[in-house]
Amino acid sequence: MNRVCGLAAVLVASCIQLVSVAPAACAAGDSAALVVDTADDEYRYCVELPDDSVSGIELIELASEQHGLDYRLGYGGEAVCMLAGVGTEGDDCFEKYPDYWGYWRGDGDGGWSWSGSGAGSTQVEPGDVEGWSWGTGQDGSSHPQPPSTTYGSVCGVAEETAPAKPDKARHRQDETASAAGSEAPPDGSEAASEPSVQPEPNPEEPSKNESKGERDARARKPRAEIIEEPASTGITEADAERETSAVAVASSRAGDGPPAAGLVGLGAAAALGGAGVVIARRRKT
Amino acid sequence: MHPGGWILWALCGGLVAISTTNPFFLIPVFASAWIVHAAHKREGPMARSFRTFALFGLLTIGTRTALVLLGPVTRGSVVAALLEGTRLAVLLTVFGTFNSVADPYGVLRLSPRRFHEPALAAALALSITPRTIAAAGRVREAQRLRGIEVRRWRSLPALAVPVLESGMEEAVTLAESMDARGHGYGPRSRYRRERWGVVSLVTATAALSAAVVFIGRLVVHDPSLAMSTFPLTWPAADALGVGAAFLLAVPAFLKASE
Repeated sequence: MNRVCGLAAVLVASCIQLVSVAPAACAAGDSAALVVDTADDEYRYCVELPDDSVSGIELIELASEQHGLDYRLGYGGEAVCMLAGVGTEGDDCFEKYPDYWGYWRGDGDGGWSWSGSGAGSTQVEPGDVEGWSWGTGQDGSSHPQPPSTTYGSVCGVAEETAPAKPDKARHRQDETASAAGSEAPPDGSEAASEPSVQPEPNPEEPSKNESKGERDARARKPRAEIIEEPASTGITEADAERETSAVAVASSRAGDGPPAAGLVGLGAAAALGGAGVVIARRRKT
Repeated sequence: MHPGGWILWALCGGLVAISTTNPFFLIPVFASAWIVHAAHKREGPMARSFRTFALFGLLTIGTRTALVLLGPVTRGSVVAALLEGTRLAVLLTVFGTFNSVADPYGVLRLSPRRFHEPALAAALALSITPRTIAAAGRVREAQRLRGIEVRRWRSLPALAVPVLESGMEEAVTLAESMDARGHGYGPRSRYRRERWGVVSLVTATAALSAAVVFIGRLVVHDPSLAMSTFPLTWPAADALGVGAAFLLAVPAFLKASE
């Protein structure tokens, strides 16, 4: 009995030590990073995850709840129409095709790989990095990638990049910004015009700059435009109908036809198939 | 053909198939497996394992797609399910070809003496489909000769019992006979040693090259491997990828006996 208690005490002690030594690592256990690249602006959120697993779409909803990210879904809640005020207003997320929101998934080293499936059917694990970029391009070979991002660069400083409430955070950042004075960029537009030179949000100043750009971007927009409610997350019959027709439209819009190498390959495959039949017949006789 | 050549071919073909959902790559792999089967299938019932595995593949595609219809259906999600089913089907087809062209006991002879018993188990497992097909054919013929009706579904129980029994017996007989010959104990005889001839080497090189191209793309996250289904667009295809997939057809143009 004593031994068990002793073991338990050691375990508890080591847990406490872990928590006190590496708070960031412990906090990292249940959050994921979300990067939104509107081509003009770049937003990074450290999103806390619930106990059960979430999809890519649900991560956006969580980011909206926790950080006030504006978004709008379409196609019965399966696709992303608008993020951070950029995108389409209606339910047809491909209204502005060839511009659309491309869905990327972090590869763990700061790089990105194009997600072949929709964000409604992916699983976000703690420590994952998810990216959305607005632009043209059918797939990962031509669509613009979000800037290189690691989980640690977004969620490493949980206090600064993950304010509990946007309004409160804004207030605090106003103070820090004025306190920082001339060292910080004078206004958000400068930070916004050069998203690529934004430093990684390590310790103090850089993350303030980034949040400031984000705040200004939001402030430029009339508040009424911001959609806080996910207007179409539920799948209604009308949505489902529109969805199929809209996807059909989107794919016909893509319409630059199959690649030549692919067609040649199919032809060769058919030839091989025919040759196989001939060989099999000849062997039989 | 050295059995190792076929092992490498099947392994590399499987790797290529599992690495991609792009139909422009998967269809050439399927066509290659088919023509290799047509050119090199062994005589006897084992040759039918290609057809069996291809049918299993079709079943996989159907099941995978039917499961998607239970959730929210979009064109993209149906196509994605079809492609994932196709990938598994092509993998099964490659395995079916391996079963119909390679001799499982030849594969067994390759194993070092120390691993003889696990290799025997693996050989039995690998050859279960051709052996079951052969046993089913024999039982059917015996039933037909005795005037028993061999209709499709109702005769299944009457067919299953003798087939399972004969499979068991066959495995025991094989193990006993290998024991009696001292397999796994003494020094092995080198009678009719298989050699890595030109054909085996060319086959292995072609298959390995195909696998290297696709595994390399997998490692660098080449977007051409996965077809984008949202938005639904034409998958990418390039001459290198398609050509690499066709490398798996190379053994069909070689004579296995050399």
